[in-house]
Amino acid sequence: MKNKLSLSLKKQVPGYAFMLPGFLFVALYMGYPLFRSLYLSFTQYNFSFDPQPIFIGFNNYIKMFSDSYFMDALRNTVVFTIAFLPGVMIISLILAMMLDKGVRGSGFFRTCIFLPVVVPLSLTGIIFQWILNEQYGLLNWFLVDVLHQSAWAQNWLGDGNWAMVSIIVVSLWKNIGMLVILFMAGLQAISNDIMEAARVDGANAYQRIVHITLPNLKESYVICGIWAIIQAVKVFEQPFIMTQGGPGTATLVLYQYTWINAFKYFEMGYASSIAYFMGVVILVLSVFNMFLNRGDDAKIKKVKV
Amino acid sequence: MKKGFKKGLALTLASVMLLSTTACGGSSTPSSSAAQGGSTSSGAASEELTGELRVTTQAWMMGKYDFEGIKADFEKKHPGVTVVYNKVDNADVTTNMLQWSQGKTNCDIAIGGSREHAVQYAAKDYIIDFGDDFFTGDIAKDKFFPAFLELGNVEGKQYMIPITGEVMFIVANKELMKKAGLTDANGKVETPKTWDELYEYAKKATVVENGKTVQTGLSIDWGTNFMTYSYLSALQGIKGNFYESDGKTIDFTSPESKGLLTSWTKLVKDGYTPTDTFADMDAGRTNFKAGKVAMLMTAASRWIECQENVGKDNTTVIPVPGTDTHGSLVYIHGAVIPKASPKIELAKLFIKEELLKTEFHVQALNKYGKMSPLLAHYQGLENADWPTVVEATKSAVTTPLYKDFSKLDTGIQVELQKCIKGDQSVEDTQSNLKKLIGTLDLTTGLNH
Amino acid sequence: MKEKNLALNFILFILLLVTAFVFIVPFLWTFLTSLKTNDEIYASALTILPTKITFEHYVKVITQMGDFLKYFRNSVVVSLWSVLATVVFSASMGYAFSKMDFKFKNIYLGFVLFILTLPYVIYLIPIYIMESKMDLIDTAWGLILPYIATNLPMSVFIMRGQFNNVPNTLGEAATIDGCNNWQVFSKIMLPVVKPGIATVIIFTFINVWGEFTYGRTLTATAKAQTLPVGITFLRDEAASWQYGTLTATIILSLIPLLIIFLSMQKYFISGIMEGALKG
Repeated sequence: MKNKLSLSLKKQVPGYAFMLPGFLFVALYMGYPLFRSLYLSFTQYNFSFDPQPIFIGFNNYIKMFSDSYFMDALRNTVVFTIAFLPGVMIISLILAMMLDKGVRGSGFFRTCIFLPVVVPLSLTGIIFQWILNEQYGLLNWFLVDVLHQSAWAQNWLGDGNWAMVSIIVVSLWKNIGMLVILFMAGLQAISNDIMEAARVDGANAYQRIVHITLPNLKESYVICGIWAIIQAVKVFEQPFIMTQGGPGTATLVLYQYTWINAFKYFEMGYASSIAYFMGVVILVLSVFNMFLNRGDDAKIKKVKV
Repeated sequence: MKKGFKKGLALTLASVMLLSTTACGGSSTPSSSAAQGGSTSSGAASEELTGELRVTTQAWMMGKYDFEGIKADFEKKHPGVTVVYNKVDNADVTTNMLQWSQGKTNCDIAIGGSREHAVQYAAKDYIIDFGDDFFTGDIAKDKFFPAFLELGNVEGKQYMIPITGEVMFIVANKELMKKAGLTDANGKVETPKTWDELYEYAKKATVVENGKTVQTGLSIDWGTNFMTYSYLSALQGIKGNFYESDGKTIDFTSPESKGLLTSWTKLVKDGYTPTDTFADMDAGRTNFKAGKVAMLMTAASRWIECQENVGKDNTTVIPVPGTDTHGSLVYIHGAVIPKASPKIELAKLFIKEELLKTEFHVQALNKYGKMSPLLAHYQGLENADWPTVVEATKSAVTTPLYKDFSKLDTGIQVELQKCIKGDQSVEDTQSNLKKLIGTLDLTTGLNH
Repeated sequence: MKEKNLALNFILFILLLVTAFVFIVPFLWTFLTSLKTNDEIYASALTILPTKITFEHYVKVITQMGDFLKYFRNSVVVSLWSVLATVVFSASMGYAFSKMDFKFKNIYLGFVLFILTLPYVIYLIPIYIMESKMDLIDTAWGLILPYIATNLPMSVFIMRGQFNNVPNTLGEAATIDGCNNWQVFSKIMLPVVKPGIATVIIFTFINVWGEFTYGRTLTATAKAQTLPVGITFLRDEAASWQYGTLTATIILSLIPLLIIFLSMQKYFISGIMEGALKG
């Protein structure tokens, strides 16, 4: 069925017809930026001081690994991704399953959980800075004056380790709502008939979840996984607004480092190379994610129909 | 329900599309006239002093200065001229660089940038050079604070006219200082001469209850925008300059530098100075306004601005140790005129007649502490502490002019934050910074 | 059995209630702060509820933002066109990539998705230069075009996933009944993927409405500046905020977002319900 070699040109026309308008738009519009920045990543080009980009081959890419700030950014991004990725997927899935039960007020709860997604972090980030302030923030006030647990109060944004924790927690807060919605769409797509059949067959809740629900969410894992990977590797606003990458370089992430190089130093060449490095990382992780969740589509669809 | 919703959606979309055609319709004319204007900019001598003068200014300035007033005044003086204002965000360098690189400009004067921006614009030859003939009469060069003027000067050419400036000082809450026993018989706050003395002040002014600091002794602006200024002004105060013996490279290795970094680390370690300004660069200012900070090392203007919150006449300034004799550090926000502008002569007039006018500045001086670049404007101001500030500014110094200054600035923020937090030793910090500055281009970068 | 359900439901209810509360605490705090006077906001002792309610911050935002209505209108125009175009393109492309076959299909798909992987800042300068040459700077379309381009990849991915979930037999049956490709797409397939479309709408709208970097760089005056850009004008120099103004601003910008979300949400639910009944 998917043997492309045997397709006649005529049979391909409808496919092209549906795809081409959108694709042409994207290709024409993003083509120049994509290839221009790829080219720049192999050059030395300071937008304000250099008249022309100078080709230097892979030097930017090599330089990255001896640049201590880049390595810090890389390490921080890795740490963030490892903490954020499973966290957001698992918590969102659990919440989606809970909301799917349709308990009273679920609609309202879902809206509450989704609310953080809707407000730009450039604004809420500053509120969080305030809430997390060591001396006059809401959180420490709550811990000290209400719960009387002075020991729990921390310098949430000023201490290297806690700053990263704060960033992770705020990122979870921001993104869980989105994944809950995506997972719920996936959950709803699981036919009720299968669930009923399983229940009749005597499967208990745990068995139903593990053997029917979870496997049938593969499409959702792929989409949610890619979304989460992108949010993780391309994390930017949370550290940028809340800590500006500090203290020191404790929360400096790759995206911010790209930004600094592009718009503070105007080193377009180096910035482009960092950007493409990030792109490759996301690509690799996404492919890995799709690989993990591949196949069995035919099996599942047959069961549904 | 679905049908009704579809109708509603269709109606909304239809009305939005109608709206958008009006939005799109209005878009084409002004930008094309700017493009045309760009090609005639070279004929400055034949330029008419009428038409539209577009002034771009940073949004906060419009809140603190009477821009509407000078617009009315200028239009009255020059019939046929319309002044059009446009607000931009603070970091608008990118937008200017980009549009000027295409030979277009949406403004005739751009107000708000500082020295690094002037250098970047000048490197690509995007802005005009204000020749000596501009500086006559009330705005002759010697009527300015020398440091302010210097900040707009790149390799002998004046590319940027200072419109407002700031000087590094320590702002103090008189009442809190009095309670800490740090005022003399007349209620005037004593001036610490060294950082060791300042350390003792901070210690006395810190109040701790139940293990929690309820009043900060000394808060220092160590955020991304201020770390470099704080370091340089403090070092200036201690040793009278912040360079190595070559007079060009910023010093990170001298014993004075070591002493300064050690003092800062000690202040934090002993709990007399918080590090909340790392993440939130306004934490110091906000806390000071809440009356929780006794001393704040920052731009001097805060002393006037915060009176609104902590009480009129309850604030004062004391110099950063040593800066009363050695001078402090200043920075400016200035105006540049893009070469692509068709109204260069008109723009120059506007700057000369309006932006440097006494009334324009005196009101901001009295209300917000925003410093005027002209010495004459400081006669008869309301607050009694102005003479102290003026003196320190007269002998003030500026940040150096390096092509790679922004890279050094980031490095200073990062390394000093690590050091102050105790995550990195003072010696390591010093050597890291010395190594960094060794890799940077310290020329102005304007070697065409 | 019923008692077990009741107990379980009750536990779920409590858990969800606590979670939801934690999620909205920052918003509650924002809302309450927006109604407090400056004295109270900056007072030494922290208060939760305002002792004296004031609307001065809201007034200040709307009047000081001056061109508030213009920014608002621009945001609405840009967002709606971006969302519309993205939905149209992503539905058709998603359908093509999912249900149809043609040469190099995966290469086209890969190209579209690759855009997602790079930080958008890197596209900014080339896009500016392109648009400047086309005189699109400081126009609504100057923003709409890049927004479509940057939101299409994810949207195409979502739609493709949705179409993948639709059994091919549905389309095949319709073809046997005599429908051509367009009819199969519009009358059979599209209705089934409504949740996907709703997702794309919500997702794109949120991205575009709150987008700042492109908005700031590709515009110059209130003619085309959007709300996020206009909001930054309320900041002080050194980019500082007054908390009263900031919180009022957030609440004001929440309102349109909430409207879109709540209206889409109902549609989203009804789409899901129909899907469940059919399936």
